[in-house]
Amino acid sequence: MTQADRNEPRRRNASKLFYGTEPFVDDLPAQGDWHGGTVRSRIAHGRLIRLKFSPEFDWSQVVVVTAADIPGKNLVVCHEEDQPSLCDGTIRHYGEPLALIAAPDGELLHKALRAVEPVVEPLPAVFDPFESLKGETRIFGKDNLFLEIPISKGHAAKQFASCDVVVETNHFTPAQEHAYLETQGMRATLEGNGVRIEGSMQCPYYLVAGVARLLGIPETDVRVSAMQTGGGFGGKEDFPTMLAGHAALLARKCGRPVRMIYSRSEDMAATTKRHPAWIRRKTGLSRAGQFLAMELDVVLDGGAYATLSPFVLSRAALHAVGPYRCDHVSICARAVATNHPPNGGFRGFGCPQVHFATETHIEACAEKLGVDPVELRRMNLMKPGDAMPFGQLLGPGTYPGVVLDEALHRSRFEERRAEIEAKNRTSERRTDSGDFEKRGIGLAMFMHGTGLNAYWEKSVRSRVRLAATAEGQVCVLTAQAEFGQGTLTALAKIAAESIGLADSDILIDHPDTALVPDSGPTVASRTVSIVGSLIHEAASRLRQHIEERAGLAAIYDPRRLKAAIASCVSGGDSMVFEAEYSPTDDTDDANTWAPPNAYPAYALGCCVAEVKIDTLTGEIGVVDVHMICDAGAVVCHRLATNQVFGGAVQGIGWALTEKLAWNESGGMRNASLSDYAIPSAADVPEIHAHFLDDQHSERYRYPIGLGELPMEGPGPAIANAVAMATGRRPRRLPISPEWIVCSQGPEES
Amino acid sequence: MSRTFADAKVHTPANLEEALDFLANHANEGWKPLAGGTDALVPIYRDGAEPTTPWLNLQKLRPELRFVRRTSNGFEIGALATISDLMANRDLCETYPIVRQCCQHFASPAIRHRATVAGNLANASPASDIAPVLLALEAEIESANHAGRRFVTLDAFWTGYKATVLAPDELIVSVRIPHRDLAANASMFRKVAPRASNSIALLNCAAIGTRDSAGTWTNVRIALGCMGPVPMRARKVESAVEDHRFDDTCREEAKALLQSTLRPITDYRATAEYRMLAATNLVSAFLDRTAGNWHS
Repeated sequence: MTQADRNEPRRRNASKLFYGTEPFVDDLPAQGDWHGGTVRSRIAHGRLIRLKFSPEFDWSQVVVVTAADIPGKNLVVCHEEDQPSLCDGTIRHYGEPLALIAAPDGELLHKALRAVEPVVEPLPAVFDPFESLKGETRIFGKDNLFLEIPISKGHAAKQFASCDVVVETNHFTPAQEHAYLETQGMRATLEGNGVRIEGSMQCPYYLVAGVARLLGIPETDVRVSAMQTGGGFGGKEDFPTMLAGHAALLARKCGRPVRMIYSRSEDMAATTKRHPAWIRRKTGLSRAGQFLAMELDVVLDGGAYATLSPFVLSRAALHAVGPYRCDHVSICARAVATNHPPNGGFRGFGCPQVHFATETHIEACAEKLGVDPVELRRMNLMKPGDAMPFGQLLGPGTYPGVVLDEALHRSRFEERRAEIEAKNRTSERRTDSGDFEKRGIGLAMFMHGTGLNAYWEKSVRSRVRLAATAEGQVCVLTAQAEFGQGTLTALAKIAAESIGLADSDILIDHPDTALVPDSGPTVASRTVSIVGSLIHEAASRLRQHIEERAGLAAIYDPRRLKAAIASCVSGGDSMVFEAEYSPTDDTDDANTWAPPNAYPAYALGCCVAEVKIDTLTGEIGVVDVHMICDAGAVVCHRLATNQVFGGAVQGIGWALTEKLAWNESGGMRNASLSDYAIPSAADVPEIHAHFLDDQHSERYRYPIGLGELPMEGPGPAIANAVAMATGRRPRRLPISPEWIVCSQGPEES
Repeated sequence: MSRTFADAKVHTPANLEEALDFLANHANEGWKPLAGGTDALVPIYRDGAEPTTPWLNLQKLRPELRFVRRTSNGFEIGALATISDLMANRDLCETYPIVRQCCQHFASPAIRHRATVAGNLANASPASDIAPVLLALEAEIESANHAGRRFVTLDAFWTGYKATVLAPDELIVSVRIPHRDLAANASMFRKVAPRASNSIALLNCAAIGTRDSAGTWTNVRIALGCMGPVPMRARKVESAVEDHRFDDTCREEAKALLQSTLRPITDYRATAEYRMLAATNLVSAFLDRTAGNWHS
């Protein structure tokens, strides 16, 4: 923790959060609010004939909204225009919203929801993406393919023939529930000609567009205020657009504020998950261990509607090879429609899936060649100037090898590996000793390009605004939401340092679209990197302005700067400064999903995990985790360390405890936190977080982004550690105790 | 959606006598005793079931029924003693370390503060954490109705999945652990679960016994959870190892007997095959121990 012991600002709103006075959406005072709920499908695929409303219930007490009540377009606005806000006659997944009900209180709402019976005509459903691709059951377009991204470099197919060794493996990674602390929640109030939305979200401007389109009103009539949000992890990127639309439809129909707060089980059953992924990886190597050719197939189960699948697929395809060099690569990445509820954004966004495949595949390659997997990695890691399969050159200062070495050093990897090997040999089942434990240590490299990919980052046209007050303070106005990751603290710190004011003289609050410009979604680790750099740019303008107008001395302190700002404002100067994202490079304009310069920078990481395995029961415990992150400048070490801890825990859950089960209709069967086991505090080992950030290199002048990175290492590192402990390589997550002890367990997917 | 459960039907008797009289007068109305509520209320809160069950709220019976004490015959656990109360009783936990081990793996601290020992048994789940330990210690249930009291061994208490011998007018008064195992020098409790705390068991196993310096076992009792419709004793295995050393022949016999006794199911949490293998491994590991005090 030494890196965190610096003089850093306290988390904004920390005491309000601690004392429980910072309101979340359901804490808003009930000003005659009605409660909204959703009638959902219980089948995976079929036709909705009609809704049967029980005559036993007095329907005059409530309001009901169906697709027929939608004044605008029946659509959840996202990339593809395929998802209706309310069922359009065809049901495509379990839990699909069929109708909405609002009632004066929760008890009555509950009764009303139970008094509606959907009359349906079921159709055959398909839950397996490979089955779906056969096209016998039509879900999306002609072929159920949301998107296919081919990436090719060199001549992989030809090259395999001249390789000394070819290794091919199949991998599967499962769906994952976000399990944010606060469930989805939204409140809609009629305001003027339009509607005001308050709620739990990551991307307030997505809701502006979505609600305006649904209600058929101008975007200027939709005001969205992001509340303090209790976790998002990507689960509050696209879904809140739907929920805000639902709350708005109900508010419009009943003429009063409506709040919709999902219960945990509804949230788990109805909202998006991490995309399950099937990955085939084939690598040709020279005897010496050089990667000569690679072939990769990535298939994502997108669920019934496209939502963010194309974006997740794009990131998966662009990161599929990992931080390794190879001249002949052929990648085929596909996102496929099935009758599962839609899968969507989730921390890592396709990267955890492909890194799992890459980092476990490399170990299989090393085994085949009889070389140390660490050495095999080192031999093939990229260096600045090396080209990725889609053409981008790794930027200056980006050294995966340095990250690897730091991880080996800090975790004492090689020493520890030798100790464990020796111990495992001596503790072969001695029946009287009570020692039924085997250990293993494993590592994994990972990388994450910052921001949306170049095409989309450009199309967002992010803008930030700084506005000075008469007191000489500066308001930071962005659309970035605070959901626990510390957005407000980090952006304020960037502003304070860029302007030269004290942290306490920076004003920043939860975004309200009536007040802030659209600086883009709070996703993709882009907050401190992309938005932070815009704040820096606007701050430079502010400083330059002050230096020119106020005649400040060349050297001045924050107090004098504050006074100078105040005098400018009182002198009638508007003192508003904006910055807009405008990449200089135009080469990426045509390529939506694999632009040649996909990301402005890549964060790097290496995870080392040590596990213990109970040989009686197959239970797996993680005993120690080292996370080495190279994410450029670290804005707040304390917050960054928390990101690493949280990401590592989420990665451990994905690898070991979180086993998502489906019901016969393709919905989540274990939709509760007692049946779907996210790690408890007792499952969390010592996690050592270390950042490479104190070098005198250009790379560490600006933050690259850290939100997603730490989620991406633990899965493959744990799998590699388990392989060392058991002598068998897990190809699927989660790794179950069952797979460990039942010898018949599937080794390959 | 926030619900108030305003329609829920609840009766709160002032003491045990009143509660038993009430049940005697309303025996066929489906009143369900409500102690900690940590399982009974879950379907309503979580799954949105209508609160149609009328609840007999036992909170006011705490002065009478919330205790853990040693008597000349053993330990007595009042029906409203919580899991935390068990853990807090040093005498009990030091006498039988498996009690503490089990409690430490029981749900989470917050749930342990509310969940009662008797409620956990009356709930009759095959996955009960406390059941195997109390089975291994040969606990008895003391129950009462308005006419009087009776005792039933825990082994005979469950009649099937989620079913007990309790009549609709009957309440558990206490759970009694006889002084039978004071000389035991080996015991084990293991809960196998998807995560380290706050988890539902895939299986669990409690065992206690005495092993002399020659390696001969006596007074062995082994109990398992999630290995059939109710928590169960592995009596055939116990008899097979009684007065025996756990040698290779005995091990093979014990394994075969376990496999003929246990009836685990496959569900989405684990397969029957896994449950059987892990249970067999745990029981063998316990019996494999060398002499000396060993409690884990």
